[in-house]
Amino acid sequence: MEPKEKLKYPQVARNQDDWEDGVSFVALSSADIHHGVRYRIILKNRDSATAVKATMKIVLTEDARADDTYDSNIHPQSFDEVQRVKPKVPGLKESSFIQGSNAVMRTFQVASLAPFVPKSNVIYQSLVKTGPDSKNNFMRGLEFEVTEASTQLYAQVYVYSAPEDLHLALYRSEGAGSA
Amino acid sequence: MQPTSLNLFGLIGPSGENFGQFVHMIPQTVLGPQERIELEFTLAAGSSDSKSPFIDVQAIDADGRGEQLDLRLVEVPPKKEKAKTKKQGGGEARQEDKD
Repeated sequence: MEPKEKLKYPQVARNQDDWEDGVSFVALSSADIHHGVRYRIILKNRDSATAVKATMKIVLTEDARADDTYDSNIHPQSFDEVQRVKPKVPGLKESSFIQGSNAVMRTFQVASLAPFVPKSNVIYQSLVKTGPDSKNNFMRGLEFEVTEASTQLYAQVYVYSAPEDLHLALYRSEGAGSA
Repeated sequence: MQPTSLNLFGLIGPSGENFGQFVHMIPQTVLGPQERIELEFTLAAGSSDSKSPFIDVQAIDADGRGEQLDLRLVEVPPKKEKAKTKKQGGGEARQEDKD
């Protein structure tokens, strides 16, 4: 049953509904998000006869402004600039944040947790322009070393306006291989 | 389904500011015919209008046949009657947003 309350629709910058290679894909993004306003994300199975198994990812960025000047600067210049900020929650060890806990999973009625634990409160971003009327220089690689037993790398392109395809790659250095 | 809090571990902090970026995954959820998931959230920080929040939501169905998923983002109007009721237990209403 559709809700009877009158709902507003924030201005959506991107709204995709596509299917490729057997994968159904929907996405939307919006910069029309304001503080103190309650928003609702609705994912619905349109089909009236068949169930679907969906995986949804929500990325909420606190401040997505990019520098107006188009360049290929990368921030940080080095991952050494990124310092881990330990969560300040009494009674919980840091490892609990990474692994989750059964209590939290029960509370939120989810089968597993995949929290993103930031090492910094700063979002590092770069705005790059390619093609005609640009320097045509693409983003440099950002080298880093993983010294922990396991780690999580998260990279995302969240503002784009171009007919060109975007390509994001992670390479292993020493020229031995790539991932 | 209960709304899943975006402040899963208190990482966003008591004032709701300086969380940088938050990523939340809902993996492999079975949706029956016409069934839906609804998640609600509020950016609690009241003094951060100078910032530009941005949200990106993606959903995939690895066994999909196309056009089976529908994704929407809507603004939920405040419920005036409930707000008055909860005013007596104001702490509870605030806690709902923060947790």
